[in-house]
Amino acid sequence: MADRLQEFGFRDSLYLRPTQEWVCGHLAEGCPCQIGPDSKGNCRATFECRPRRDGDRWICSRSQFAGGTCQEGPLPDGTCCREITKCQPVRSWRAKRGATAKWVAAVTVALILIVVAGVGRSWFLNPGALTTKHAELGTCATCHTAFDKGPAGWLHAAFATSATVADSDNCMQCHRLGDNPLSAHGMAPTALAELTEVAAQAPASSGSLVIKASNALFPRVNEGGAPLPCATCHREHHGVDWQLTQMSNERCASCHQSQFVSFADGHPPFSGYPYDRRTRIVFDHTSHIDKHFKEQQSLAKAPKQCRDCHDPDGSGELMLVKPFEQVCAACHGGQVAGDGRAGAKGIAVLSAPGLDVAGLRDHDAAIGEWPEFSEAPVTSFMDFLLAQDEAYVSARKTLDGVDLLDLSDASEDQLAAIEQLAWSVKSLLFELRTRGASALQEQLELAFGRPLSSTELTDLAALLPTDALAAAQTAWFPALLTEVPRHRAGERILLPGLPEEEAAGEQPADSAVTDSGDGSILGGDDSSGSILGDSSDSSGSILGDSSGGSDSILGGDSGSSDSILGDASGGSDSILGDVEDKADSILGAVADKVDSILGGGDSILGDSAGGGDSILGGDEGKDDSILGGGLTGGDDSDRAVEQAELPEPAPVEEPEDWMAGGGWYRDYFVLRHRPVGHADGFIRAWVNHTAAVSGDAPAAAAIFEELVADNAVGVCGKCHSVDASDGAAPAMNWHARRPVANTRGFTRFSHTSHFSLMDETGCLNCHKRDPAAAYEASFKDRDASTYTSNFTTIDQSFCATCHTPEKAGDTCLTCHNYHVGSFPPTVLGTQIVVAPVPETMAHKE
Amino acid sequence: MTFAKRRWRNLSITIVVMAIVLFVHRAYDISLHQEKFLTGWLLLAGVLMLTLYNSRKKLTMVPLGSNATWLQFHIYLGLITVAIFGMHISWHLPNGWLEGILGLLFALVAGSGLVGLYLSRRFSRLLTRRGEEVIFERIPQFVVQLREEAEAVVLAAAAETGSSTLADHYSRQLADYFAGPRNYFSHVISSSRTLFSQLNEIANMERYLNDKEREYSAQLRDLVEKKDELDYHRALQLTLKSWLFVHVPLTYGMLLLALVHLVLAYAFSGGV
Repeated sequence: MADRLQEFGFRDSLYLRPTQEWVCGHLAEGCPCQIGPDSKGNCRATFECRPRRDGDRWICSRSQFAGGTCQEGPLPDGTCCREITKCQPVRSWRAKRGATAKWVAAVTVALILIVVAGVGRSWFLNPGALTTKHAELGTCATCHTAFDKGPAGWLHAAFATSATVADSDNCMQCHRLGDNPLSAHGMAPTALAELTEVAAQAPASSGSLVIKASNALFPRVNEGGAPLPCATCHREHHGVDWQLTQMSNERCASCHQSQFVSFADGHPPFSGYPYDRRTRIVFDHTSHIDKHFKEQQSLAKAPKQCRDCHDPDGSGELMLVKPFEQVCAACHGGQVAGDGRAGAKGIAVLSAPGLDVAGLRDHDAAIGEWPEFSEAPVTSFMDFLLAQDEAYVSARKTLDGVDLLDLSDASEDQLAAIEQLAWSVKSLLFELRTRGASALQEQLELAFGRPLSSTELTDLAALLPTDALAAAQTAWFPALLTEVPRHRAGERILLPGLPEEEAAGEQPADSAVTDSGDGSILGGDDSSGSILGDSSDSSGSILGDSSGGSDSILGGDSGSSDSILGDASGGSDSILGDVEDKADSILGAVADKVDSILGGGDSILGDSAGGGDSILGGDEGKDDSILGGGLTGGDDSDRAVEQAELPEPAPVEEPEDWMAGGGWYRDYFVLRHRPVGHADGFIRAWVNHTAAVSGDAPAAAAIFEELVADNAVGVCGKCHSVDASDGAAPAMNWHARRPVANTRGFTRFSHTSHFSLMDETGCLNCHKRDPAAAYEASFKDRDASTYTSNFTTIDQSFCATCHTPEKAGDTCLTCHNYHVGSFPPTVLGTQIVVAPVPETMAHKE
Repeated sequence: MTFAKRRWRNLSITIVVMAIVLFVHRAYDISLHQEKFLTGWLLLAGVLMLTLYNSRKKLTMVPLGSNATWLQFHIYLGLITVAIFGMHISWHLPNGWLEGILGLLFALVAGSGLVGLYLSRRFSRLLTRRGEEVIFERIPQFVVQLREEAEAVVLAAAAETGSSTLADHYSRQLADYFAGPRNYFSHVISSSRTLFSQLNEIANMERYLNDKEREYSAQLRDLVEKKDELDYHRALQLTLKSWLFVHVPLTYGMLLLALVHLVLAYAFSGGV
């Protein structure tokens, strides 16, 4: 036996090539041939040698490795005598490995093709379960736009840039994130740039090394304003419990100018937090706590604890201010209602502006009749309602600075402007009187430049009763209903002249007995609204009416109707009398009448013509009437004597006091609205509406300013601040801060989560009072950002005592939101489909 | 350079590279870029470079550095790739079927590589300690050679001594043993139990042999030991070659699936 199995040497062993793919099939038998198979695995074996010819002899050429020259030698024909049995070559080990690799590759490709082309590709390609909230989204194409396009579409989507936003748009179908959903924080680029500019002024960065490296090595994902797809932060397919909104502190910091290591290490100090804007309700904690609450009369009413005035909202984040009625009304309720107010307690809405009537009469001004004694100004509301009347606006400009109560030196232009002003005012009242609410709506819509809803109209008109308007018109401009048509017809209507004998007896307008006065008690020629009758052109008198009037109580001369006590002619349905052609009167008829109760002549309550001895007067030339007649009816009656003989009238409630609960009332020549108390709808509507258009309409701005002034009726402006930052339309803050539904800011804080941590110091642990703070000064302008709080800024280091990784946590998302803005929830666009009735059913019916 | 020094140097380089990759990965992640794309590309590049080693072995004629250098590079880059793979899957098991299969293939490839690394370190040492070093492909020849020698010994003993004791023992106990490679698993675990059993049988038989027969019995025992060593070498070399049947073919399957995964990842990345 040989000591060694394996010998090396060209005579002792074959040279084996490890890379050859096929080996002789006889190898396993221990006797491989020397030639071996070819590269394709074919056996090449024939004979052990190829004899060579030497002269006429054939000589064996077998190699020494194979045993050297054989004893038998070649056959006579020169072939080797030792034929090698053919074998079935086998693969080498290396070739077997290669073949296995090819098979694995082929199987892999086949698997991919089968799966991708088959119906189960969603199942196979799905990289993992979705979170619970997305679990029922449907197919892959619900989120992945390219999915239904097949493998070719996938390839295109993989390399095309158009897919950048497409998939995020699918997210937006459910998640409405404002106008800039794919920009950082959902903010407009300009707003973001402003914040960045502010942040750049912060102290130098102290961020960790990895953040610095991140900024140095890689561009920002939103470089050049590139959109930030949702998948930048929200990565799905990580299982049902995956936290889609998780975000590391470093990720937040990498984008920010001011970088830091942790909340306790390097976080910028709070700047004014949480007082980033002034309070909406002006409430000086310092003056109230240190002064007012200590006053004897307030002791019982003053709150004792913070919670007496503040309550957490439903989410526990905001500490709300309790309603006015609960926390303010005890001391300030009367103030709002006007208690103790020096001036008028109602807002002047309409007026008969005071003019120098005597002066105008001297100038033969054609303004028709005008109340002699009015000193009321043109109200800002009238200016607003007439702002669309260019002639009026022009007149107002002309009269700017002119004392309307002294027009003795008025120029022609000013007189013309006065006339224009007068007729514009009258036209306004005329329209309101004749067309009512539709005219008011028309005027308001013209003024506001947009249609108004019925609710808005209701608030703006405050249910102005027609009687109040009618009474005001009757008192101020009795002949308005005839004057304006005449004026519009081109007639020049001068101020009525004043009879000398009556001029001497002028009395205040509301009870005047001027021949052109209004509201006289005993009547006049051309007046209206008198109590005891008018001779002509009047209406609305109580005791009589000569002609053309209507709605008198005690009778009318002609053309009237619906009088109570009589009717001169052509009337109907009078209760106490009828002059002619009438029947069925109760108290009598003048002529040709029968069936009257009190007869024709000598009637007690009225006589139109030829009668005598009537108690309450007759039309003309009659004597013995008690209360006078028409043009000359006063001759025989001594009014002073008569009035002196009347018993002392009982004192009546002043209209303003009568309207203590709020409403409309006439204050001489002004029609006012008294607020109904706190949160008066009229004031609120006008403040809101005029604020919206105040930038374009000076008249609206004037109303707004009038209503929000500190000393305005209702004193809204005393507590409710007005914001008008950055040139925006002003807005009165009607409420203290309230949670805005679906709106999120950068910072969030839960008050209720911290309640359990408070000791006896309570709220003052964080909100430390600053008695020296100039709180009131914050409201000198309307910029909400100029603010000095009654409390000191909360110290960031105080929060950091608990907010560490080991205790309360210090991740950015603990206190900050990424998406900021208003995000209304998606509402399903459910189609209301009425199923058609099947024909067979329809036929049955 | 000693083996230990080389190992420490290479391990140090590997650890440094891993640390750098980990740092860059973290920096990339916090910059809000998709770190999975970074690790994915690094992983693909790493696997392709590892695959080049197989090609290098086929291009023996091209001066591309020694095979030993390539192997070192292959081993340590493989370790780095495993770390990158861990980062790529965020150290969690993949959820989907495609990703699951891909991850499984990577695990098998990487695992077989580590197994191969262990085997190449341990078995090569064992192979030098015991028996004669033989070329794996020639082992069948040597098996035949030993069988023929054993049969010759048995026949010679029978002819010379006229006793069939040795021949009977061979035909009953050793014919199958010499017929081909045997006791693979015992040799892989370096167990000598089977050899001991065979030698024990021969020793038990020798009580019935005369002196002449004992001489032939001694020759037969030597051949049994020689065959056992040959089987040992075959078992170890076969194992050293077999793990590549997992490592190499699955690499190609993994690369194909990785390409599909790459396209899908970009197509359905949500625009990031």
